Amino acid sequence: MSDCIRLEHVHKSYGTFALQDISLGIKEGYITGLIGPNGAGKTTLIQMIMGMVRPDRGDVQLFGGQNKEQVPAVKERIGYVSDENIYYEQLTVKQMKKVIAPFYSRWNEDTYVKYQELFRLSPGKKIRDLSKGMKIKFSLAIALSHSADLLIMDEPTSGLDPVFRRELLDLLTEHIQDEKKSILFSTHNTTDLDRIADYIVFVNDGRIVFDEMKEALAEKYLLVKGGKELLDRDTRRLFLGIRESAHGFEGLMGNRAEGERYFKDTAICETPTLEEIMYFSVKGSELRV
Amino acid sequence: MNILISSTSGEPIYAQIVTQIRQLILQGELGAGTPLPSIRQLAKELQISVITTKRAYEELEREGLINSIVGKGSFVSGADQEFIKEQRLRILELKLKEVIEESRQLGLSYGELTEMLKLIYEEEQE
Amino acid sequence: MYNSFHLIRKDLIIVQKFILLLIPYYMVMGFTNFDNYTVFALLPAMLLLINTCTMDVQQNNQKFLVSLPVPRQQIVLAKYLAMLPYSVLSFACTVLLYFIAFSVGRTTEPLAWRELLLCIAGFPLLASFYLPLHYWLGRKGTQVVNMVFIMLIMLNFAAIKQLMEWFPGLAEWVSSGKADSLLLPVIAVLGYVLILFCSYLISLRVFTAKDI
Repeated sequence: MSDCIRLEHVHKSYGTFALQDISLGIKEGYITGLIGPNGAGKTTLIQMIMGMVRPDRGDVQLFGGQNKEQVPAVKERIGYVSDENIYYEQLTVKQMKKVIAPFYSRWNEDTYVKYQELFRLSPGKKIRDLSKGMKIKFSLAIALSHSADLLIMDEPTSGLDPVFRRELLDLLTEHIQDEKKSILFSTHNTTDLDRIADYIVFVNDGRIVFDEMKEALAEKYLLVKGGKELLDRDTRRLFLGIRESAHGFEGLMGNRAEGERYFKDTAICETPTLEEIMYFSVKGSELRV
Repeated sequence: MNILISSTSGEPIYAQIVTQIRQLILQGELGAGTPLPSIRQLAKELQISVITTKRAYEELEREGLINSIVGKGSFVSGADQEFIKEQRLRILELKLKEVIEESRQLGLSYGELTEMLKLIYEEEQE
Repeated sequence: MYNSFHLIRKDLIIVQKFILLLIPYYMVMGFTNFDNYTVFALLPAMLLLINTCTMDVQQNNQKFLVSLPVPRQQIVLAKYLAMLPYSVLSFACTVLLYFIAFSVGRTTEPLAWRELLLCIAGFPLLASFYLPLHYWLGRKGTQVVNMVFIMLIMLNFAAIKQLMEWFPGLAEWVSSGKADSLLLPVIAVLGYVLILFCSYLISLRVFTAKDI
């Protein structure tokens, strides 16, 4: 199994914020979700992959080649969907398409027309007048029409209604029916896209917390709910993050087997959701600072 | 082929798929040689991840219920019902051994264990 | 090269409306301000360039450009190459306007070709100062830079007059087409090309290292 994106020891700092020593491989043929709270560095990471932001140190490789961007061939295989509008707002949908199409040798006008109809994009409408959801649909139509091998989407669902979010899942799973196509998306809302994700990369505060197969997370993490009397100096150390209330505590452990050994009989042990993993990890790391 | 996934049941999704396909095969609804949807196809239909589906198929393959042929997909194995039943009985035996081990640790006698089994069995049947 | 062509086409599409605005502009200017070539030949070309540059940085459009399968070098190159169609457009409009004016009898003077060429040559020269600043300052500085350059365009006319006073040979060439020696023009042309080339290299350096 090969990687379509490789980051090696990438650093980038902006004043107070820094991405630190990011090494990461995105698997070809699968869907990878990049999750993390706002400001964790997800967008910077994606923009670095897209060649918009230059790393201070380290290497970004796309499809096995160095992205020194003498290789437009690499970009041609990427479809980029951003949560902010990157198109010329004063142009109409049709004009914008006319601008974009000639840059891609694999552009397929029929496919574009198909998606334009499916998404109900009116060609005469100005980009400026499109709703956020429509803008996302437009960039998706563009990406799918030049048959990108790799879809890179930055917070694609943030402006979408639940109905289209579901439709998007269909479009994306359809896209990877071809085992050579891959998807990387970022989101801070872990309840929609992650159901189809094969791999999850979790970033927090400029660092990678984990990069795992989603299936493996359930075997690694454990959510423990119990009375506060269970918490003492030693047991606290076992947790990645704890939330205490008047009536007990909830805590996340990173070693499921160990956790079950300690708490199986005295507390409730559950498989955490991604959101819970995210919440407790962020909470825990804030405490340690 | 009906497969229904519940995201609130607490049972891992791959296990739900395994249980349901296994049932379909053992009940004879999916006969020997029936092609199963490809891993990616099923993942799309169920809107779940490819790896989850792959894991379910691998599990079914291990149980001898399906065969996967590279480039062709997965098929319900030609194994006869007897063989499949034997396989499952072996799995059940292993699970029982675990139960016995656990009850020994808890100091339960054989009598107490069978009593417990009987009670739970009757409860489940209701 | 092929990509540069598509990029220039993109620029022309985004300034489509502005190009249409040039028609009333030329009509009004044709009546009011006929003997100043700067307003016919230089100002429209420079405004076209400034417009396309401003629109690229206005929203997140540079992100769009960088996401295209085009190296950044081509993006910069296309901006420099786009000067050619803008110059041709301005030149053609000016000549057309002159012939219209001549045929209706508004002017009887022959067209001063060489002065016009000199004036249009001022456009790439100005642009070669504008573009590096545009790439360097990006969205933040664009407005200020635009203002400054629009003022500089106005000075262009005066600058050409001044230039002719300093170099009588130039004035001679403009009025008669004769040049005493070849040395000075050759140096001037070489210097001109050098400035353009350096400007391109600076823009390229600035833009390729930049975070968009």
